[in-house]
Amino acid sequence: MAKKQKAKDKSDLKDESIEIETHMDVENSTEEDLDLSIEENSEILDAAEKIKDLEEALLRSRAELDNAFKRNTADIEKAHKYGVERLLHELLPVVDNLEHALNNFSKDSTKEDKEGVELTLKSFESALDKFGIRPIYPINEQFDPIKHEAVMTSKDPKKENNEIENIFQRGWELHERVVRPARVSVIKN
Amino acid sequence: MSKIIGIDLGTTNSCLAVVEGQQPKVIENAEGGRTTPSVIGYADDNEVLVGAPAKRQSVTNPEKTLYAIKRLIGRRFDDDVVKKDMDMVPYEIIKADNGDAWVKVGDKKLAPPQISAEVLKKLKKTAEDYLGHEVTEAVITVPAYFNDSQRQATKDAGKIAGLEVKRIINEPTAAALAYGLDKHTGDSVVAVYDLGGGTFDISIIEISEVDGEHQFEVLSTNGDTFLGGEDFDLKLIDYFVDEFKKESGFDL
Repeated sequence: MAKKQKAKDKSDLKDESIEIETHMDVENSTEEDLDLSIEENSEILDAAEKIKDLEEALLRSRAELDNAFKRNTADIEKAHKYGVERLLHELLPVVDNLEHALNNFSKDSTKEDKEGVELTLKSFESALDKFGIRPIYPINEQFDPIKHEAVMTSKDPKKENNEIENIFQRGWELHERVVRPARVSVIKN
Repeated sequence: MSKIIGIDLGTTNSCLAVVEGQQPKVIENAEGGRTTPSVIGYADDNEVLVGAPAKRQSVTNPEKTLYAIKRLIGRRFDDDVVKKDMDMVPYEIIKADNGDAWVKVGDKKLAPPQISAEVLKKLKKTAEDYLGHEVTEAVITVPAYFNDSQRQATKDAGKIAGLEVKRIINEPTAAALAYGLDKHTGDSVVAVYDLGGGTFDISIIEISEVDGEHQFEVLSTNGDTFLGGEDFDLKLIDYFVDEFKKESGFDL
């Protein structure tokens, strides 16, 4: 806006100087004056147009920058929140193996052996919990494909369709993102 | 100003990217995946599941879980590829009134663009969540061998999803661009292999420089629409099941 005003001021000044000239050369002044002002007017219009374009471009790039900042912040937040995902993928088989160990103790193993593994698994889980990592164990739940993966279906007239019959493998979620769905069998009569 | 998004609408998986600065950037979906399975599940309560969740419920709902729709899009029912596909997929492929291959889900008859639009809608939503504004324009890639009808059907899918498809780009051309082959000076001829989840393509591309601008021409293209990474997975699974049976006697 300020620029526009300036441009106008300048043209006013010029008009004055032309006026002075006209006093000196009265004969052909009017025609020349008219020509000049038309030319100047179109120059001003061009400049105004350009200012408008530049202002728009500025607004757009400001909005773009603003968006980039927002995305950047969100990206960093996400990186913090889900940064452990890759590590988690590597750790989950260890958790699985501890579970397998618990379920397959030989007859010779003592109560203490079992307790030892139990406690190890527990401490492992509580460490994961501190990072927002929680197990998905949908016992007696309805099948939900967002959190569960159906690996097979089975029939059981005593149960309702879409009920989870068996859990083959626990699932895990990191905050609200499913890192590994629980692998289950689903009732389909 | 709204951005134009780039979509690789694949047979098995789809991918979404936007150009940021000068670089293309792949956008993660809500589940954190850089690719989204091109799988659509129609649940009993009329809910439409797309991507990983659709895949996870496929064994409970095989007739209403649609995948590899790209093999049907823009094809006639009598097409050899459609005939071959019918023996392989658990869902029902039917002949539409106009002779096109459609899919029957329950009592609904669906055109392939309608189904593919569900994947595009999810990608559009992913882009909007990321960019923070509405997205209405897209560029979509298709195999170089796609004919006019398949290209048009892909455009229709975009339209149904609320996206104006500004350009349909050949997949091998997009691959060549992504690897910066357009920055080479002079003319060159390159081979682009594309081993996808469900298909395997090879194209020979000529890149020519005309007045500093690069032009791409697909000289020749071929491939197998029924061979992809998933087939490798299945072969491996079969192999391990056989070996396990031999060793332990258990049939998995």
